[in-house]
Amino acid sequence: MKNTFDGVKIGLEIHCQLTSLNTKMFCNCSSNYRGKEPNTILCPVCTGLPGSLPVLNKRALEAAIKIGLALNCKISNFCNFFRKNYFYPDSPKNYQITQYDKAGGVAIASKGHIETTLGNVHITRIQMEEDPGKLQYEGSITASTNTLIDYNRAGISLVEIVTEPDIVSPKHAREFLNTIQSIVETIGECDSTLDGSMRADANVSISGGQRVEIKNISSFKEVERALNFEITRQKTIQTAKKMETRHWDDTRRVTVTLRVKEDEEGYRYFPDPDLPPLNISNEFIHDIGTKLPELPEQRYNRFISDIGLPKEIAHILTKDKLIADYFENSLQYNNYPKLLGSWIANDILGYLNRNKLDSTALKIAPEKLSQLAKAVSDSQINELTGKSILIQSLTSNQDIDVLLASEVGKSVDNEQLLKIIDDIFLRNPQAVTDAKTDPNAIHFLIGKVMKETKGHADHVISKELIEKKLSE
Amino acid sequence: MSNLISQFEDIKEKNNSINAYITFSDLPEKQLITDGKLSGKTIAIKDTISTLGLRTTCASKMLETYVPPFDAHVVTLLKKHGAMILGKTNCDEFAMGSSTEHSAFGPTHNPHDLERVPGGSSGGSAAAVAGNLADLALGSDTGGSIRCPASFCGIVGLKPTYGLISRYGLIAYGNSLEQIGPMAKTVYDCALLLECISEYDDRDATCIQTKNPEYTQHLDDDIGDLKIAVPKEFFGNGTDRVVEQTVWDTIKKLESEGAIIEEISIESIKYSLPAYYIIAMSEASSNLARFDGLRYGLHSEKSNDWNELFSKNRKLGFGFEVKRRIMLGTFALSSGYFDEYYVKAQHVRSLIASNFKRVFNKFDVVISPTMPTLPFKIGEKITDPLSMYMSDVDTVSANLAGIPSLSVPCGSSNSLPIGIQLMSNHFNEQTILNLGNKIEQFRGMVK
Amino acid sequence: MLPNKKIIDSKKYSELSKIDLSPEETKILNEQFPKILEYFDLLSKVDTSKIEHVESISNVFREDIARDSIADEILDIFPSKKERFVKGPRMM
Repeated sequence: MKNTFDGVKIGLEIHCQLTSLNTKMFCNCSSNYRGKEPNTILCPVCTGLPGSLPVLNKRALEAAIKIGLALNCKISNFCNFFRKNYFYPDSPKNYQITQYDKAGGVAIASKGHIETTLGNVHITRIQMEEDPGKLQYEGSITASTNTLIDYNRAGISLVEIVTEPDIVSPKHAREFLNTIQSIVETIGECDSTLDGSMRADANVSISGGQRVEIKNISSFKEVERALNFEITRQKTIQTAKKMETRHWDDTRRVTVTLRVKEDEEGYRYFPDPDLPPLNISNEFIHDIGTKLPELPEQRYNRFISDIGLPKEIAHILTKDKLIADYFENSLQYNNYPKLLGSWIANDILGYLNRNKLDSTALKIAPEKLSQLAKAVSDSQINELTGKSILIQSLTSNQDIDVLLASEVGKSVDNEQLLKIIDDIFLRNPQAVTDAKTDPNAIHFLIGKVMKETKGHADHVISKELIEKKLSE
Repeated sequence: MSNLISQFEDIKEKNNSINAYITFSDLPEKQLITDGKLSGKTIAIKDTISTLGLRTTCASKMLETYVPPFDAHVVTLLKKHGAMILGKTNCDEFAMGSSTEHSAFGPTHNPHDLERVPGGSSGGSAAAVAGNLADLALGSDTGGSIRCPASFCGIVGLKPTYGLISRYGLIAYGNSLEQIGPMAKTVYDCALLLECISEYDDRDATCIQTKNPEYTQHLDDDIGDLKIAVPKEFFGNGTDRVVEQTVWDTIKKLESEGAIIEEISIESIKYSLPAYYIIAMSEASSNLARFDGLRYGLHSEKSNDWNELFSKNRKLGFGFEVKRRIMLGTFALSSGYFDEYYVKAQHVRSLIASNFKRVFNKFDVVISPTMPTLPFKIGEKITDPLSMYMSDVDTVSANLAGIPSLSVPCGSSNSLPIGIQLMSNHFNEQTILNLGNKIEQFRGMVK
Repeated sequence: MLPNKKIIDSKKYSELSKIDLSPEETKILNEQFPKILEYFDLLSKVDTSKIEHVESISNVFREDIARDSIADEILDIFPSKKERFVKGPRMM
């Protein structure tokens, strides 16, 4: 459902940490900084000690190229590193090593795009850069007399994804971010479950107004909230009159002024003399491309064309890699894609969503689900029963095997069914007469059978047997 | 060893009048490596080069108490080869200067005439060698900072090809221009020190992996029919007559020994000074941003916020020349001026580099005076920055082009030394070392 | 582009480079900068329209192998600390 405000333009800058790397971007310090005591992973390079020099981690380049390819970008055959000069306590050198797209600067990738249900979003560029350290306050940022600085994160490899202002609503932003998340997870370069591994800044304007940047949004959920707030705020004041940077306060759920936005020129970008440029051959790019796993969009297409799933089911299943994997796993045991696809997309995910659980909470083994599907397909139980067993297993954690065994016993075989049908025909002569002339009246008889068997008869077989008897 | 200890005391005593050293090391109990290439040799290290556990100040209040937790690559190599490090030498603050007068620890005095400057910025290193306060020294050269003091102090100094020597541990001033280099009394010792410090380092991405030639083994004096170019732009208006004369005397002597001399013109050399300063200052403005007192260096206690703290620490920590260069560099990189200054300077640099490349297609060596004047008096140029900048007029081209350049003494005037500058194509240090060796012989210094 | 019209606003660049200047220093710099800039402006006379590209090195990398850090030695250098944090001044 499109939720557009007039003239709303949103652009996003997404920072993804390359969590798959062992070391930081420009030094051999371990990149595994979470949960560590502050200032325990340091070297002269990431703390910017005088005389230290950066050297690029080769795996960072490969990861950045993978991400670029996955986002349909053109990978540059030449790129370089620039210094973004600004003073800030979390930045040990008081400049950040990054990439730029002017003044001779070339970023690793550009001109990509991502399709979403709410519209296509163009990727302006993808650049490699280093993360700064972390600031902590004693209390709130305004009240704190001291700032505490931890440089463990300084130098961690980042890839920044910059979009055109193609995003039309906060909901669209959320969908886009989830899509990006799914893609980088699939290719394995960024584990978004790790705290702070994916962050986004947003730029938003409404028709005719100035662009406002919102920083410090802690999670993707908050992005939608922050954008909703900011759009409302801009509409209240008519439109933003000046370019500025605002800070999202997720406790009070408001954006607050940080500073009037610096122009780019304040950063005095120039090529970093310590880092030679990169010449990237098409062979190198192609090689990396061949190592890419199947992307969500490709999987979606395959689920429709090769497996034959309906679009909506395919879309739901491929949104989460774990769920898509689970689905394909279950097919390995017994190949009933339509039934399994429907159960997973509707019943299982429905259950998880209602109970605010994520896909890791799914305890049913794919093999068991598959067996259940087989039982239905073999008419050991009917579909209704199958579904009910599934729901029971989800809610009560009972084993499917056990539930299946008890239900199978209750199913009705054809001999029993014929006896029941004969009995119903005897006791409902008028209905039988009606059914002989009006095909729709057969449902009354089928209903009787189902009632008699307490729902355990197979609907299709019952209908066939009744039709056969009617024609006799 | 006890001999060395008493020598060391003499050195410390003598240093009082020269002020070559900022910090003396603690001498070890005994020498660990006795069969290294540099065993038995004492060495002084410019205080912009990081030494583990030994204070490294860059001659600045900003780093007055800074003790690095790591050795520069070259220092590791010195230790590996058994050199005895005597201490850290005075220089212009953060290597910015040509006279070693811009130091927070007082000026260094030229051993040949204590009232005169030793040159800069590696003035302390040059004075240490010239004044017999060390056998060898390391300096760094961004725009002439090894060659200038070598010339003014009458010793040998080499700026190697850019990328030959690892800069890991060199506290950066103009990082696309500078190299650490050897300083010694003789070309042979210079070549020996060069051999020891030119080992490849993967921690410096601009360090180039080359075959490690043994410069001393191939040091000879057969100049054969060496083709030497003498660009007239290096004998500009500001050149002292006696300097011009002395340098030409040496050139004539080389000609009589078989060298082929040709006067040429490289017009772009006229623009090398402004191009150099714009690039060096721009890089410096960024390289010195890290000095805010938060992690190391001078820090004041009270301030209202981080903005105020940084500005105050940098006000107190930096000398005036450093402030001037940072501001000019910030200006040259800023919006509206970036293309006109920084980009233009880089284009001029490319032009100069390609001009030299073309010259070296035809010639083996380019010769010029190292400095346009004799060593000037302490205090003479300090109030006029432009006049000070002009003294680099002959040296900066080599930094812009990245080519190696050697200064050897070629004479004197009233005991004030005059140096001759020998430049060759990238990685052709051997050629100029050999030529320097030959020139040494003219002065009766036999090895 | 007339050299003598160029003025460096010392206050602006002092803020940008985070260096407080005394009034005396500001005065001296404001006098010296125009002369220095005039000298730098010499470059405008050079025709750099046809520059040859000078080859330089490229593609320098290191392997993604973790090495021990020297965190404690570096922590010792930090002048102002609270436990293992660097203690900095207020942000606003």
